[in-house]
Amino acid sequence: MPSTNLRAIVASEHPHKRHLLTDVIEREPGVVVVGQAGNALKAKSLARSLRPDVVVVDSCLPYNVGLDTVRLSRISGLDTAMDISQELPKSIVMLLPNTDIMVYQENGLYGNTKAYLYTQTAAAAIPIRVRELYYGKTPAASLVFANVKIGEQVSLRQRVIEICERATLYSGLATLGGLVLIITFVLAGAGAFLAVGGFAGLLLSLAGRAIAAYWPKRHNIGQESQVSETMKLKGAQ
Amino acid sequence: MAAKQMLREYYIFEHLSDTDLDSITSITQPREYEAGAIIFSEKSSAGELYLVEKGKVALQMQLPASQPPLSKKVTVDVVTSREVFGWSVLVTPYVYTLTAVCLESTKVLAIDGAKLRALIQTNHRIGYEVLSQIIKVVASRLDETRHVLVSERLVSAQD
Repeated sequence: MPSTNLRAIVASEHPHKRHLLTDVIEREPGVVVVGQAGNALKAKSLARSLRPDVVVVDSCLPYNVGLDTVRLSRISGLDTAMDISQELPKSIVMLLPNTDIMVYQENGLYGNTKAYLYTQTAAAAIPIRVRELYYGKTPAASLVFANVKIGEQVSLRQRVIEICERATLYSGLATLGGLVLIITFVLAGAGAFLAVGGFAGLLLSLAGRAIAAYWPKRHNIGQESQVSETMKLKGAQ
Repeated sequence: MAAKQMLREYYIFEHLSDTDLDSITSITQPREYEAGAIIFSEKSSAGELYLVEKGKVALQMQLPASQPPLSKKVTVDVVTSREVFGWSVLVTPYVYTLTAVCLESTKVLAIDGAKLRALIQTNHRIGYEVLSQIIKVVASRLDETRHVLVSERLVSAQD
């Protein structure tokens, strides 16, 4: 994977939402936010001039000015995302439909709360690694429908999955090592002990991973870090 | 009972009786769509009226090909939970005038358009309630669209 930084721009009407999105994106090493826009016109102008690798757009984006009591003045997010996706076919454009992060900001939970980007599929919510998304095996031009989640429950589940994955690897190695020792006849006893212990550890770690994978979706993210991108709009047409 | 209660939460059905809601429930199907999925396309035959249970749907209009500086499609509305879209099923020539795109995972209740029209013709109470509520929605969206149009004209005039 190339070592140069990926350049991103974020577009959202609200400054604190832009700050949060910047924080979320820059948390990943090698990704830098180079511009912020408060409306569709500015977002498109920034995209043309900065040619970013990644663009994150809030679906509730005004075209120019958002009118307080007029909901229809803030619906330009999808159009902006599609326009930029067409003008910059090598960029990844993420459209964020949810406004949950606004609620968290208003409740004062933004300060030290971890947040992450994810894509929601029928099976699970899959976390987004921006660099994987950009360099992955996807069509060059892709519009990704993403979301932002905030909550410590996610990190617990992620930790459990990571621990189980490591345990699976080491248990598998122990089992194999034990079997090899048994074959040598010299350390058959130790080998049997290692093989049985490793096999038991393997079963436990796989069970733990399976349980973690099926925890309630609303609190947790998916099993893998692999990203699924969609361009269903183009496909359906 | 659960289906009826769910329908009653939608403003177009909130004044209907249990019997009327039973009639609507019998022609309603739940559906789920993933983010990015197109529920229906502009100019396609209008077969169903949709109630958004959960999620967000953008309604887009195709621009003529002679407008290259603008995007090919423009979003003219975004509907969220407890809102209705696809009411072209009630207006001749029963052709959708917009494209409906899911902005996130969306659950809807789809009401069969032909059966709803038949129901409205036989049950005038349902017809009156449904159409009078839809007229309110249309009026509200027209009003908001005017505000947006005027606002953008003012901004353009100042540039």
